[in-house]
Amino acid sequence: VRISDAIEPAARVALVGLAKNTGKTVTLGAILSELEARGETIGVTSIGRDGEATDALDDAIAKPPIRLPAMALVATTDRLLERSEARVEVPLRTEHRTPLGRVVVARLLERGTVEVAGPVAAADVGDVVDRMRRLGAERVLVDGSIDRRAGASPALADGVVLSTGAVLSADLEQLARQTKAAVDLLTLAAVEDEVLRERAAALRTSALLLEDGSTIELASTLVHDRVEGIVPLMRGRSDVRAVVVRGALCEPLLECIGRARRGAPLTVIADDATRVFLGRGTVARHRARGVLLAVLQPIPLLAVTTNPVAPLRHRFDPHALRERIAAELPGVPVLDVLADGGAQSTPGLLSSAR
Amino acid sequence: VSSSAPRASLEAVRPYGDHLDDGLVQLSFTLPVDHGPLAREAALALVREMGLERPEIVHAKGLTEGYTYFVMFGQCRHTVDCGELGSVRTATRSMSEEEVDAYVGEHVGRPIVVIGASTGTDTHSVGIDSILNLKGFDGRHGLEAYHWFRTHNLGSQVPNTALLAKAFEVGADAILVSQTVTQQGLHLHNLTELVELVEAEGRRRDVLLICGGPRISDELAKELGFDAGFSKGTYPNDVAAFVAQEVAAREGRAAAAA
Repeated sequence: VRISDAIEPAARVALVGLAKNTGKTVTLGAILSELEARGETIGVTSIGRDGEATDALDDAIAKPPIRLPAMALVATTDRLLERSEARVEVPLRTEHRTPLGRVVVARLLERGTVEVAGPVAAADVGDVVDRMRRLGAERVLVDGSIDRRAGASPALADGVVLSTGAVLSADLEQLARQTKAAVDLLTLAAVEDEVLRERAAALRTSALLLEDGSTIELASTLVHDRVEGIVPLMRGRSDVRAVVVRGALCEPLLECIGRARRGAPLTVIADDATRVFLGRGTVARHRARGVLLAVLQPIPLLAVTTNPVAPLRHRFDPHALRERIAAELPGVPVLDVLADGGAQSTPGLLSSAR
Repeated sequence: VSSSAPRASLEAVRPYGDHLDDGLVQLSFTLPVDHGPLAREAALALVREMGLERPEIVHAKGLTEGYTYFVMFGQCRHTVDCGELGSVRTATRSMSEEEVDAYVGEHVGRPIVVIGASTGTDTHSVGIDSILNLKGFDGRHGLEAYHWFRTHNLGSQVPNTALLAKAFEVGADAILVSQTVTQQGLHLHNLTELVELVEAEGRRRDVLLICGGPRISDELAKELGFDAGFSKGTYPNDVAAFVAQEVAAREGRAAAAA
């Protein structure tokens, strides 16, 4: 499987990394070169920044440039564009302000490299994605940043490519477990029960959904801050079928729900996986206690890419790493975009960030 | 250097020691070699290897068995063209305390609410204290002293969720986070998690997120998803000026859109 085949079903693709230097930029480069060969018009934006020459924290880590084909659209900032030597036209100047200047959308008039930097807020990134589509982009790539998942929100993207790599751990087993846990969290299943899903989707606030079809609304402080308050509300009730959480779902709330639960297993429903903030193993532990986790909008995982190199630290055998991760994730295309020959790597890349 | 001192061309800048353009650089380092002729030779060779000419040992001292500390001079022949350095730093105007207050009074017309903390396991609160607390630092008041600022300093080791809950409760315009990020990226996750939580709450457009700390730059801030990043050499009025102008710009846009 090639990475461009894996992303085929999604018009808007989010790239998410499990940490800094897991190989997001190399993955982006591979996708770009494969799509260029297909003659597709591509748009690229980022929830962070990408294509910079060196790492923002460690100057010794060189980063690969992002080579964009002619006619590609790219979100960047006015000040970053001034530094670029690429030949571009600027069909769109936005009002979105970032630490590196105002966001503009540039169209490459010939192949070139441009630093990618979209708006700061995810909702504004969504706006830029829409506008790129209207400017003619057949497919838009939303590049992630560090370990941020906001770009994977179903409001922004139709599917996700997840990058994992040696930087997570020098121990292959540990790395495989961490990757599996992150995938489990990102791909939380949709609420199975049709009726329950419709009831949850119709709500504007957080709430308890009861057996008899009624609901008890929950104040937002109750699900985010003063979470112990949910215990007395649930105590003695065995008719709570689900707890709907609007916004961020964090561990303390789940603990309290687990403690207060009586009767049949119940489902905690979040909007989507980017709203769920849980440590490794939490999902399985709560499932065992009768608290299931589900989302209204699931996120399709298109592919996982593996990077065998931890810059300036250690490295794995590329094939061994890919095989190990693939064994952990049946049904998910797992690719090493450099080792599998998907992308033509830049000389020197393997010794630096990749 | 007096104001009448000769000025170097900004197209070819190199270090200044005794006179303009001499390229003189001072270094200090420790070599894991016993104090003696071999260690001295090693130090000189190393400095040459660094690309510095005419290396000179001005101080050498055995620290303990097997270790020698050096202070060295050398001459740097490289130059930097300042015109080539396309700066992408935050382009807000710098203002004094009085100017900030006057600006907020005129362009915002209400108090600006700022909340700050050192988050996660980070115990360092010096940075956030010097920006927010009345005393400030280096003779410049912290934001608490400003007429048009209302500040809340939650201190150190504050969980992101607690910081956010309080920020929404007090209606914060800006959240300031101080964090000791290391080269290896320690504490980076604390910063991204805060952004992701605000995003998950659907409140990212409502609040300015600002991070500060030794390794933090605007470039890193952009990657993290913050609106600005401040590092060493930042005074409270720099942060205040940024927040004031950003809030004014946003409210101006909001008013224009309405």
